[in-house]
Amino acid sequence: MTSVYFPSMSGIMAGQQQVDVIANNLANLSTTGFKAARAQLVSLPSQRSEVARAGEAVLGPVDLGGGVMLGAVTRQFTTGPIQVTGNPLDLAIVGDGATFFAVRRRDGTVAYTRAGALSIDANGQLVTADGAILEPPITLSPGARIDHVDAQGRIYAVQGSANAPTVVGQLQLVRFPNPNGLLALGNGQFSATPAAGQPEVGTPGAPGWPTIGSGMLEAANVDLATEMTQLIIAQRAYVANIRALQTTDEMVALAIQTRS
Amino acid sequence: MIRTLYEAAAAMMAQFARQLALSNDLSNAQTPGYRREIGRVNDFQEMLLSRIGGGQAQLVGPVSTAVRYDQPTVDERQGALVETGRPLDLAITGRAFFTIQTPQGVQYTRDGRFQLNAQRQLVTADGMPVLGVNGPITIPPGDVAVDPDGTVRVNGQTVGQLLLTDLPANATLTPVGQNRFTANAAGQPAQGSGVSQGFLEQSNVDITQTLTEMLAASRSYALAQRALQLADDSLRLAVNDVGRVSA
Repeated sequence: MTSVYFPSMSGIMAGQQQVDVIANNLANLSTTGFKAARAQLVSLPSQRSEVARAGEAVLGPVDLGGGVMLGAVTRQFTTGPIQVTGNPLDLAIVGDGATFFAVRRRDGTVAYTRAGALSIDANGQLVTADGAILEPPITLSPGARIDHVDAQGRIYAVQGSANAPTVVGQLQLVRFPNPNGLLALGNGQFSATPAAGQPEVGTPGAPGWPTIGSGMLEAANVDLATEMTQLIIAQRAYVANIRALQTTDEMVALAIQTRS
Repeated sequence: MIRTLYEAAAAMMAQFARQLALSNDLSNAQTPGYRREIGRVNDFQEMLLSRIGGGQAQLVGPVSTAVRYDQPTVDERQGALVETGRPLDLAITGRAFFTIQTPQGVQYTRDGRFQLNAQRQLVTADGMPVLGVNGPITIPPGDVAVDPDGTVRVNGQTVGQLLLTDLPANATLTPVGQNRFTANAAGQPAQGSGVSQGFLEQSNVDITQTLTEMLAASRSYALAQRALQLADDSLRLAVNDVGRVSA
């Protein structure tokens, strides 16, 4: 008997999860390197049920649909709008939305991020805004001053008494066959999973690889108008499912009232 | 008289089944590639009613015994195409289906939310390979372009062609979840269907229409319930009051 409510209930739950995902996108509207997520709904298999038995005549079983469920939450790995900051260590990956910087987090694990707001920590290492060290690490000698970063990811710094900047490090990029298999860790960071496949390491600007934009950051690829439209659609479907649930319940109530 | 009870009960069951099918459609109003189900409330086979009297059966005429809810069929009307801009979102215009390899055998879908797996094969959201004309399609790194005829090219090089399947008009499609169907008849290579890259086909469920049909189902259900009660009341009268001599 519980199953008669299930299709509508599954629709309401899926609607709620959709709204949750949209709310999270909206909350990250100004998170550097954030990638908008989408709730992907899929239908559930139909269930075979004997729906009518009238007197002697038994009706053949009828397949009735089993509702909907959240199949996956996928990320939209499109590039976000580029915002110019002027700080040479603000780095954006230009041209491909699914290529990442590798960083080593404080707990020692490797993560992948597009949030390229780098700075120099007390040990002279390049770190992200939350203190994760760029992987492979790039260390500056004391007193060195970052001059610029070119499109090929070479970091130029002025060291000691020299006047001309020299290359002190080379940025590397990583990409995956299936970026949707990556696990989101928050802070715009992702960790590798078997589903994402083997990471492929490359140099910025090499054939088939995106370039580095220095002095700019990639904003979240969340589009306010799109999200609001999605929200309205999700809410409309949510309300319709509640209405259906009520109707089903009224019918069940009528059946119960018949013998009174 | 008893037949009225059964008829009313059968009508209630049929309308209830219709309500469940409509609820399922509504819950999938936002599932890309979902196809709404068309259920029909049909007559049982009619039977001949005869009156027995004067020692001889006299034919009165055919009467319908009850209604039932038939196995729903899939509505093949095209859903709206919505642009997503994602290169691996594919939509079919026309009546063909994408052909998917699953452990349970070949299944068909209109849901084109594809991605690559760790081996760079084109797969569905739950990881089942999308079949090309020559089996699963492996996509090397690069810019993916899909032609209207389903040819997949990466940086201009052809890497495969999507296998689009036309199912015979009389085939029964059974929804098996994940927006996929199995068919009880073999498919043919598609004729006259095309693939649009960067688009998704939305569910062909119309919320307004579904809610309206739901109203009709619930009202029919309530009417049948009323008929059942009236029949019950009449029976009660017949049993308790008819032929009673004194109070």
